Amino acid sequence: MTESVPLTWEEVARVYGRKIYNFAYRLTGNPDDAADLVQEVLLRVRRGLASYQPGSFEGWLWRITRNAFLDDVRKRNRRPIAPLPDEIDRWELASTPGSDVEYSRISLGDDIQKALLEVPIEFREAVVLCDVIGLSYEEIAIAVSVPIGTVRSRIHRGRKILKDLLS
Amino acid sequence: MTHPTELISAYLDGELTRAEVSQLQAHMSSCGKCVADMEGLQKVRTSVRSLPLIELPPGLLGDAEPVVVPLRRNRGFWVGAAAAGVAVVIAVATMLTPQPTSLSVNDLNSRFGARVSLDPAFGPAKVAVPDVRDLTE
Repeated sequence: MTESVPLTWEEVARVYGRKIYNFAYRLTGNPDDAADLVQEVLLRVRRGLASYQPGSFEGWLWRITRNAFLDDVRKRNRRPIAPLPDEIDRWELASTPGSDVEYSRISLGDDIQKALLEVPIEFREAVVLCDVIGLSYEEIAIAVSVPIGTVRSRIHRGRKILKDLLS
Repeated sequence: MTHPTELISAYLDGELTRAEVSQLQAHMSSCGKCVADMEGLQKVRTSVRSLPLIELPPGLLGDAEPVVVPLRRNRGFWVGAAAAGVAVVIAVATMLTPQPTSLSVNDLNSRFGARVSLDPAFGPAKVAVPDVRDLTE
């Protein structure tokens, strides 16, 4: 695949910022967590661009993104805090209330989003990378560092769990 | 009977080899369960792909104005559309066929005059899907 590699992190932010945000949002279901993840990813991209070796830029970028997400999950699991409120409370507590239009847009996919959050992380990230971001199985394999056969299996199992949850 | 269920999702994504497509095609022509599975998985796939795009919160990127690029590449869209067409034809045919397990691709072709193929290389222009209302009348 021929890809033009953005030269600066600002270009990465401009071109991929929205994709990274949507990836993070669909994985976490929370706008604040998604925003934090975007900033963390861009920080890592800024540090890593100098040593980036030409190859699959998207594979590299999404590997950074999913690693940042997993680091955040691990950090949260270690943090001795009160249990998270349920998803509806988390949505209501979002610090930056959006417009009614934006809220209704978010609500449209509410059931699917809630179901996504019930899917185990390794299957969820595969489904989101495939169906929300639009990566090929090969690109997902690079990003997640697993064989393509594993990607195929994870996407299928993720969709099957979603199917059971939504039916 | 062993059901090659894992092939179904990869088929919908256009990620099967030609040999695997043939294997799935041969199996599905005589397996109502896998036809139903494909229909369900196709619905899930479409639902996730239809999730609304969430715009970036203002100011998140600082001075870097985001460039509006498609969130999802076009790759896979036509495959999905073709697969959806196939799924509709197969689903309708399944409903109208007394014994779904005897359904074959050739049956579909002759019965509904539709060009049916499980080859993901087929685009919508090559898959003539009859109007569902016509079939049910």
